[in-house]
Amino acid sequence: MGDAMHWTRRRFLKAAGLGGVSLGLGPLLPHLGSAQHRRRKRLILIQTGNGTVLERWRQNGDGRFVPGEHFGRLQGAILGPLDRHRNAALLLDGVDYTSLYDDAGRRQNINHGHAAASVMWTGLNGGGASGGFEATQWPTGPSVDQFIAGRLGETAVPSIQLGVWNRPNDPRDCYSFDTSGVPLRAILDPRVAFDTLFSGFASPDGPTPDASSRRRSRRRAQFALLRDEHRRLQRTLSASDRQRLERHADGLRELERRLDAMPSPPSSSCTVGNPPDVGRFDRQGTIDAHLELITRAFSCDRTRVVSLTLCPENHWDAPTFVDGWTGGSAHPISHAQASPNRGEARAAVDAMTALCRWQAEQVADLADRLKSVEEAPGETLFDNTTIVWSTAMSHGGRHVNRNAPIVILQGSNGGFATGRYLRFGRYEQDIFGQCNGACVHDQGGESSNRFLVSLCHEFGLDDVESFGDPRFSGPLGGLLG
Amino acid sequence: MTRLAALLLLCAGCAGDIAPLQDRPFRMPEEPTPVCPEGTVCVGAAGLGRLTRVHYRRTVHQAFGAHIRIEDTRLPEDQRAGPFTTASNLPVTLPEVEAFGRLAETIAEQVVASRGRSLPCETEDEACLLRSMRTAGRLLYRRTLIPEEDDAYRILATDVFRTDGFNEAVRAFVETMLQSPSFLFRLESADELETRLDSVAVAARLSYFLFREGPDAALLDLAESGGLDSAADIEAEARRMLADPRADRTLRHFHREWLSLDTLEDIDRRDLGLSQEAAAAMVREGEHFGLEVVRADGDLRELLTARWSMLNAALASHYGVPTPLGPELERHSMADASGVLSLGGVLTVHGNETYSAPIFRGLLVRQRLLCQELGPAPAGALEAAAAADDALGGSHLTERQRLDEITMQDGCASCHRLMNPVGFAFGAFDHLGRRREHDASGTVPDTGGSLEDRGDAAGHFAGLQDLGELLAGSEDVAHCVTRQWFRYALQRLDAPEDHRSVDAAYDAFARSGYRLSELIIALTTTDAFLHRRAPR
Repeated sequence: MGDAMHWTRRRFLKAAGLGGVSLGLGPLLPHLGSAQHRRRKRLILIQTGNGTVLERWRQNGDGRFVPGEHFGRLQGAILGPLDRHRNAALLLDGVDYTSLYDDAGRRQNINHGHAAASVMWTGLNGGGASGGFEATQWPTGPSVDQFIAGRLGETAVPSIQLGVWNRPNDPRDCYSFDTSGVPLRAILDPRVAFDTLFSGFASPDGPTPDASSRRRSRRRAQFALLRDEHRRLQRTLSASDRQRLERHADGLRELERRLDAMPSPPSSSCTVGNPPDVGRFDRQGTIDAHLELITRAFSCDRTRVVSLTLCPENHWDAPTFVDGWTGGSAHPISHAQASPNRGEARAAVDAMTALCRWQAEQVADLADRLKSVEEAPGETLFDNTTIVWSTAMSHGGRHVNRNAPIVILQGSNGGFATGRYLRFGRYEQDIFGQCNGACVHDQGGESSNRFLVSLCHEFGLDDVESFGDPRFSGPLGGLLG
Repeated sequence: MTRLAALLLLCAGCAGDIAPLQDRPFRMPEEPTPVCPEGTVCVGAAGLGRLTRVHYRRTVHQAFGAHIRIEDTRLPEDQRAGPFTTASNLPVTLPEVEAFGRLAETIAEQVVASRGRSLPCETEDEACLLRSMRTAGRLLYRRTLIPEEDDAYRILATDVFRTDGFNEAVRAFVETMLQSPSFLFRLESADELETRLDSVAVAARLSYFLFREGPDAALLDLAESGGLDSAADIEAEARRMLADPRADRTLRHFHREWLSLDTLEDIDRRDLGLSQEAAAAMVREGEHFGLEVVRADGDLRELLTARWSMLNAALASHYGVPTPLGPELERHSMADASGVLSLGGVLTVHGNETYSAPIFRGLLVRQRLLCQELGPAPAGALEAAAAADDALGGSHLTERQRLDEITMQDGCASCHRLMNPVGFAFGAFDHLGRRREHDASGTVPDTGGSLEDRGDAAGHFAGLQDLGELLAGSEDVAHCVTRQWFRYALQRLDAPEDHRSVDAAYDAFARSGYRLSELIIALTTTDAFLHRRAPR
């Protein structure tokens, strides 16, 4: 077998959030030294599939954003809903998924377009999809959320991946990868997300867990029995089976460790509430429940790292949120934008605009929720949170993996200089995804790998020099003002 | 509105070559075709599997009763090997370990709350505790606990029993067993050479394959007493099991996955006129059609050319068949049917409401009946198709003419000539599996054409029934159906090393006159079924 089977215990420990060991994981992983932790810094990655309408994303009022300047209001067709968070917003225009391209600017394999979802946060050109809708390749390293979660590693739940619509077994629908590059599937059912975040947690309003010492010692006896069983099995199995089982044993060790983990001092703002109750096909209800769970989990410091898919690439379900559009769901919309039939293309562009605006509304809603919870005098959850919203393509219909439109919302304790629009390169695209004559079609100006390095630095991981593809090292300039 | 997105499919990788391409297994590097010396066993490597969702649920039900509720969404996702469910090709993740931990607690809670039904005794003393522990342990581990395990569980359970009582002791061993690697994984001792499975592991393979559940006590008794040691014993047991009504699950489920009927439940087609009731009935129609063919000792020809299907009132009304039927599926003659090829669910899943539907239907024949894989569409395929479509504008063309005009361009034709003509054979059926007289242009669909191939399936056909006959007479198709059943039985794709096993099953299939039940039985005594080779 290939790399898929080479999972070492150490890699898994990192994925499980057990920091403190030096990595030495090979050339594709970030180079590390000592780490600094800042308290309760939180990260939310939000990914939406099928691109955007770049020209409308850039629109602000009657004109376009002016690079480098504070944009005043956010009044565009897509980003308008974020206006109430404008002072917290930082817009990045001109970041490419450079790991997809060779040094001559050619795509290196079939992993492009929608399949670049797996590249977004890993900076690694590992994903791909065969014609039979089967995953054939995945990245070989972690996504930035998992890397940061592994290094922060302080909460009961190191990180959580949430989504709606995501399907398994498809690199177009997977965004988070553990340290070994194993895809972490999004949890679609808010009830499962609730259990993941809060099972065994004591809170003023939550269920009473059985925290008696007798129960804990019984749990220890159970884990000890399983440990012995693992030990016996290890003796009889082949190397590859042992590796797979070792990951299971590591997981059990992590659960056992949590028995002894000191819970964070309960904050007065901590609210667990009841498990959500949402119908399987209630998409908006599912998103609302996810947003609420993120807020509650932050309020109780159950996790500090979240990945949320609002709409994956491989989206074929009917989009109930685009009024008047009858041409199918997000994926078909993205392709219809490139239709040579201008009437059809224009209708699709409008539908994509509405879809992206709806996504901006969800992002704004999440920020509202985080701002509504005070975790210290004069300080809300949002003040310690960084939200990054992006997509794998600028134009979905034309599969353009250049110029990802990146929106950062960051609270007052963050390090980015917000309220600004940064433009890298000269990439232009009309609303149909075409570049007419005088513009530079092929590239934006910066590498997404450098943005991932910047994100690590923002979380105190200053020793990270490159992330993912080692060809693109160093941070992205200009984010700190 | 034209939905050209549907055109973005397979359009590359075919240039000048229509040889069957090996399906690409999950993340399997290119390996040279191995040379297996004569007289040695040769099987493909198989990763260590864990229980799939269904296997987990059924195994727990066998241990504690079917009243235990286990929600699917709380179980880690399965993966796929081709269209078939598996759980062996991705490493374990921490969220999965967490999920199994939480499930263990909720299941143990239910076992305690319903102990009268869940446990084999009611006395709530130490003797009943240990009996319950051993009964459950054997079914969950799919083998009798070894002395070290028996000791460990006995000590755990009796310790808790003495301090916290019977219920807590039950909770303790149930929670532990359900997080044990022996329960969660399909442990089969194997090294990097082929290892013959022991009889208990064979029992588990037989049971998960034919019953979609773990081995029951009787099968474990048989295995542990040497009754599954020889190939003849295994074949005899496989025959008994296939005759058992529990094997209906497998016969239904194979057809559900092979034909991708499960995807009917993923995509909402109500806006196209397909009610959820009709969609659900279509899934069942396909499952029960396959079941009925095998149960009637049918052959490959019947599977591909049967002039009947399984209908109920909802389906009859959807298809416009004027027959009084009840809510239950019944065998119903349909003069224009052609076995699985004309199943409503198959036509719906492999098609769409536009003129590009034949691409998907042609692909179905290539992938699922000929085991051929075409490469992915090249970059820009959709745009080229869109431009071609736009250039045609409102020209009055039949659907067939339009699709051919658009896809028979340079760079597209190499694949589309393999898909389109075969797909046109399905033209008398619309995107929801209903009969149609005319296509969208008002023309009577032209369903004739030829299947281009280097193998024995090549030939001309006048329509779908003709195509069915052509496929039914092909040894290549029979070989492909053998491979599909192999993949289902082994829960993995077939590797080059498996060719002897596949060929052995195929030979038995052929000798029986292509009776499907004989194919299923033959698979259970192949080298691949009785051996495992761990990946390097």
